[in-house]
Amino acid sequence: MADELKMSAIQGMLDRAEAAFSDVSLKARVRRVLIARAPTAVTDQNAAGVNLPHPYNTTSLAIRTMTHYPSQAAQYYTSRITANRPEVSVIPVTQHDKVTDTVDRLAGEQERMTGELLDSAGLREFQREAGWAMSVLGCAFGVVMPRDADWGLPERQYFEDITDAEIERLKHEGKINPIPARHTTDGMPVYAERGDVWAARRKAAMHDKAMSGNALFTLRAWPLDQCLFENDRDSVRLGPKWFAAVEEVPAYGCMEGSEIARAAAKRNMIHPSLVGQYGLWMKDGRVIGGVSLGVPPNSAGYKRPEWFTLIRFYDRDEQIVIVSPMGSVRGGFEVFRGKHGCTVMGAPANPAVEIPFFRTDTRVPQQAYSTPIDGVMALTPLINQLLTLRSNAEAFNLIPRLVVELKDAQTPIRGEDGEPGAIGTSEQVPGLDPSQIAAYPGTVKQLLIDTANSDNLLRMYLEQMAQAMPSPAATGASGETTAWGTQIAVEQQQAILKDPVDNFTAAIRGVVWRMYGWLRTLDVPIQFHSAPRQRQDTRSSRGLIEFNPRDLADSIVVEQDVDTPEEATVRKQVGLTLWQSGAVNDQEFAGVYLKEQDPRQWQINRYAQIIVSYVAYGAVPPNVDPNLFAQSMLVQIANGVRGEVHYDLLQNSPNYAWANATQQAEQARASMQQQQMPQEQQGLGGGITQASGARQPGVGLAPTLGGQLGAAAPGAAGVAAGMMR
Amino acid sequence: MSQPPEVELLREAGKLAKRELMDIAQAMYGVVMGTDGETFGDSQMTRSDRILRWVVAAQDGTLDILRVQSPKVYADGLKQYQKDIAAELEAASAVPQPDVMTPFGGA
Repeated sequence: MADELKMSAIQGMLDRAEAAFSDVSLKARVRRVLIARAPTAVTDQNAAGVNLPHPYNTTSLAIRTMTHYPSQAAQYYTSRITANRPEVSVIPVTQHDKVTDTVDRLAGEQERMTGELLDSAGLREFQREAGWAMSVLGCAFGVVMPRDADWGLPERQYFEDITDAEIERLKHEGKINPIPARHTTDGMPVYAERGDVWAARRKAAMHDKAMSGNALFTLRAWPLDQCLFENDRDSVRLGPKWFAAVEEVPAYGCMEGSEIARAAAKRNMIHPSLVGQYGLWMKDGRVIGGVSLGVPPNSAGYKRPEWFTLIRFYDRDEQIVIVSPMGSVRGGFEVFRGKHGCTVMGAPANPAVEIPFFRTDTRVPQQAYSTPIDGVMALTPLINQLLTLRSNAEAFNLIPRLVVELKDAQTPIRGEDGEPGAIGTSEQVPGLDPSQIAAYPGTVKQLLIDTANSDNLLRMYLEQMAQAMPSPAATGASGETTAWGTQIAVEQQQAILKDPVDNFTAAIRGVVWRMYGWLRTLDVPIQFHSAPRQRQDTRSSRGLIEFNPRDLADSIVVEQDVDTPEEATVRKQVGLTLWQSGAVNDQEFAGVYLKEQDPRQWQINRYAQIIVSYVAYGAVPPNVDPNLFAQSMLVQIANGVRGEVHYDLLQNSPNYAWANATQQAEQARASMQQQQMPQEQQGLGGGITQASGARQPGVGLAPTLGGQLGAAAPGAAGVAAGMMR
Repeated sequence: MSQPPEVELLREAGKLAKRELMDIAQAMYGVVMGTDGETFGDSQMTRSDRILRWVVAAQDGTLDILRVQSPKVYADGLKQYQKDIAAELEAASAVPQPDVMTPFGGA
């Protein structure tokens, strides 16, 4: 194609970026060594700080110490970025000031669908990997792509080479268009499958995929040192101008029959019969593809290395996969090229999104990003080096090396070499054998390495490290006893996390926009099951949900909390105190302190809960005077609700209706029986006293002696029951 | 005319509470009483049970109350009763009757 980016141009871009990113890659290598605490992986120029000078470098006693600070800090910042999942909210857009039920329902369904799309694409794993790269290297990239170019949905069928009778039958059954779509080179008609039939097949296929839980998209995080890219002025919205993710892959992944080799064969138009024999090789420092004619590997200039470099290159139009020699982006071989169709609100976009921890004021790759771990990483080699030397000094000092110092402060000198005569090299070390006492011509002294200076220096570095590490409040050891004090410390620490969490949610919004773009292009109703998570209304999240991409709204907000569970507890406690004292209203308590997404709904739910509890089992809210509550507006509403529920149940629940009718009939009968009861059992005033509730003296007692005494009455057995009222 | 925000809030809370209570009540009646109205632990109502209940309900006044309070439930019940009676009559007619022409009963 004429507008395709040429391989030579891509090569030039990659070369230029590799040179610009070389410092990034060195920094990443050192940081990984420091975090992994791998003393054997000593870097050039003593970057990890574990060198020992000659001759001590051969000792096995000194421990090349690597501190735990880098890994602890990396774990802390990563866990803070991943502590809470990003939540997508759709903001309904209407032409009126009221949101209709339909718009509200669609917004809810779109939120659930987006949650499911992200979850099935591996959002949490992505969040962890990206969070680690953001914390350690200052930036990560995320790449979102459809799992399959058209999600495995069926292609449109075309019918050719069929008989006239079959054509008539298919036309009659409504499966093909009556007019041929085109003609073959020899003039034979080709009939297309009818559009509605094709759409129905695609819909059915989407249903099957949803039922089997297949993900529609893939989401992958790339650390900064595996990325090469260039930005332009549209990059904030549309992603990098171009982006390449670089990784080493085992060479067997490019051998004959592999997916990469097959793609390369297809790209190079190899005859289908030879595709299975097509593989990738190295020749003259370049990767080439070809079919082996029986020459043994690693002969005739053809080599099969152990590793290749796999480069996934994306611009705003195409995806290109390149295989190049190990450790290089030069000499690559194109194995796949295709339009990826990624868009953001209709504009062609790069499927890669940038996720920095802090973005600085420059675009120079090695200076463009910053992370709070920088300080930790700067101090770590210094501390490692001092601790390593200290370990060596301690090992030296713990092994006695003794000399004799004469009274005139002279040390006997050995005749043969002029060195101080050390005890222990040729004779018994003093004190080693308690049964022996040796006599020396002066004072026996141990040779010691002085560590006072280095200890002072180490102390200073450790103090600086304590400052560079995450605040103790953030790790749950603030030393504060009040919620207020802890809250202040927490707020300070959270200020650092605001940027990265905002950047992450912005990246997720970019990912979601890209997903929406592909879904619109696909134009098939999306079927999905809601993502499993805690939901307020679990009833509405069950079952298969269908969503038409035409109803997708791009006005979305992605939010993510920065709290740990401990911090959330502190915040809620502070809010509860304020709320109970009346210092903040319900709305503020729910929004600011409980961090409810919809404080208004929280209030409604709260009132609804009170009403339900009151109507269902007569419960009065805690800390409320029951007498005052009985006069409250809520009780009036509750009584109204009780009535409404009663009348609704009478119409809608046969069991309730029957039970109620039976009960009322029984009451009517009882009332009639009561009216027919003898007068002596009523109050002294007859009907009037009974109506007013006045009772005869001895209220509650049976009217007969036998009934009052019960089983204790003489001869009561067998008759007591009959005498009871 | 728009209402004050607090009243609007309470009105929505009332609607939500009603929905919740309806769900609770219907679930409770569904569990405690089966679809035919039998109480939990009883066996499924048979055709004759249903007829009997209808007759007793007619005698003790339950039906009168049901007809006024829950006309749809009454209408459904009546239809079911008529169906049950028809089925009962059909079953009865299917039983071979003794041949009264012979002094020794049926064949």
